[in-house]
Amino acid sequence: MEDAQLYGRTVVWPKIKPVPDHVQQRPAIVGNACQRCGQRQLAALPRQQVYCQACIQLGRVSSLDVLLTLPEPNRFPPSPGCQWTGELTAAQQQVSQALIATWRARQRRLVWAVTGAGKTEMLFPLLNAALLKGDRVALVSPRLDVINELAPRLRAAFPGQGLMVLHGRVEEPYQYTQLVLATVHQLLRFYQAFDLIIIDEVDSYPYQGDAMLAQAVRQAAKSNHCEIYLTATPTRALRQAIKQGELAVSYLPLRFHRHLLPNITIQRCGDWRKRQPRRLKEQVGQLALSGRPFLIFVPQVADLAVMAAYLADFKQLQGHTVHAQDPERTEKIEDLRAGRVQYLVTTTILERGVTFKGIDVVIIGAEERVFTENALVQIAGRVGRSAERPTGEITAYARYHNWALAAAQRQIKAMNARGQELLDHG
Amino acid sequence: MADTCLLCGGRIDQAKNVLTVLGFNDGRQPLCATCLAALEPIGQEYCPGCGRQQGSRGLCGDCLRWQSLGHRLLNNRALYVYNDFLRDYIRQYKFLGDYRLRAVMQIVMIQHLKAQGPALVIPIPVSEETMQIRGFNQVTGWLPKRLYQPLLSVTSGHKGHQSHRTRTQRLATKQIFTVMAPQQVKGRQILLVDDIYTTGQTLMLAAAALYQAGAKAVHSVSLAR
Repeated sequence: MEDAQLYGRTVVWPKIKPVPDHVQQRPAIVGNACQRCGQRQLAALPRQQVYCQACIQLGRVSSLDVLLTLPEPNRFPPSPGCQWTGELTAAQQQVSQALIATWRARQRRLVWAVTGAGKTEMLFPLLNAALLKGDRVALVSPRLDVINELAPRLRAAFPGQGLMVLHGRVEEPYQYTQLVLATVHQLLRFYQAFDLIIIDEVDSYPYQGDAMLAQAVRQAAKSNHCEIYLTATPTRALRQAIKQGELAVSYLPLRFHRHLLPNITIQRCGDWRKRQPRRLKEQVGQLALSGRPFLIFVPQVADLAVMAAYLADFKQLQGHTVHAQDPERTEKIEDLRAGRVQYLVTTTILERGVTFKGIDVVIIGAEERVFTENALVQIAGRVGRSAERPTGEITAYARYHNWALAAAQRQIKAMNARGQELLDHG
Repeated sequence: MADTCLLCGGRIDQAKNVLTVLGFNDGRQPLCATCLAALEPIGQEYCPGCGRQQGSRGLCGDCLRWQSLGHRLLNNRALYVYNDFLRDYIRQYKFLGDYRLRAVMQIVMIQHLKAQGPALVIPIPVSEETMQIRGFNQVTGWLPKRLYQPLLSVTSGHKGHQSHRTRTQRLATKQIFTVMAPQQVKGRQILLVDDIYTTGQTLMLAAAALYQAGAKAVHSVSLAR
């Protein structure tokens, strides 16, 4: 095994295979805790051996193994830096400077940016500074759709930069690179590697409240490192930390095109699973005529078929259903983006991260538990993303008005108030 | 009452029967309906030599070739077609090493063995090296100790990963098995057990070692073909 494969990595190695002298090893299991993921979920093997069930999908860690690593030497070819020629808005610039200051001081900061605020571009100056200095950088996201969207944008902005994209469905073998774009699970394979970790969608499942993943971030970072969190919808815990002054925060309340966020319109309806609401049928008719793309969010996978059946009445209308386990997920998303279909009926998997130009959104069963306040804000955030069409409709069909819906409308209103202030006073 | 499917984590609604109500785990289905439906049990038409699913009950080309080389056929009986789903199960269980997944096939393998009639059951062994790396024999994982005798051993470095070899490479391997207690197999009806019957090479070699030690007849069963 090449040394570079071990820099800042945790590699699982059977005890009976000899370990090269200079390589550091640590036990794989200590007591009843896995040393890679920190969890205590051991299962038995014969001969009194044990293995970790929690992180097995990354390759099994057992008492028959040791964990190998080599300290991160930051041995990279000089970074070409950022070649992006676009311009940041004044607001983005300000946040960007704050991030660089936080990075220099090796501290933590949250960026509370509305959906479509241009968080990615706003990171470029920070990435540029860190990469040019020779820091090892990880950009982490909970979902592979988001990673897939980010990768080409990063490659375009940092041409020639060594970049490794890591998630469960990646085919290429690992290579030692300065910049790593990964899902949070993949961080478990790193050990004290990164000087800078940027965590996108920090409030999103499965990151939030998942002990194993918090452990992954802790372990993958070097002891003296900088952590940046990005979200449009911080959790209560994060909001508390901000209030109590424990976490520095920067706001980006305006979208890059400087238009406010469209808010949610609530439409009362009956038992839509039994009968298609008249208003929905009218609305779909209008959307079909407009030729504009749209998304319909349903609460459960089983509802995809219900909605698809209603939409089948519109003979000229083409679309797909898509859900988290859908093997054709990526292709279907591309179809909508490319205009090959006009709609997608989806579960909450598409609530964040993916960008479609000029769409409208319909939510049905909006009063159900899966549509939390933050989920609704994120879904609403799919609308009005492009300069050509900075507005759009978000209609939430609900059998009754509930707290989550009201809170989502309030949150959007509050962010818009901040955004309006920025517009008025620059 | 509900449980989670061992393979996909989905819900299984355990059919209420006397055994489960009384608290016996034997009544429990380890797989959900979707996963169960993905298994392809081998039907009534199969090759009597190797158990491969086919349109007729005549010997297949592979088995005719074995015969022409002077080997006695194993009359292998397999439970399932080695389809994508089973490939996935083997990948997770044997290669990823998730030992818990042995529970998925325990009940069917035991039933399958018993259906073959009385015999001395001998599982295909794994090397000591495999025990140090994988930590278990994927075949004995399915069987309670009282049902078999571990009378075969295999030397490390020879068996290797059949899955990584080409057909020609597999057929060219020399004897790798040793019979541990030859007096116990003399004159006996033997039933070998393996996970997947691919070319039959592994089982044929094991049978050859057993015949050499004086076994009367050697047949086999496998999870898949």
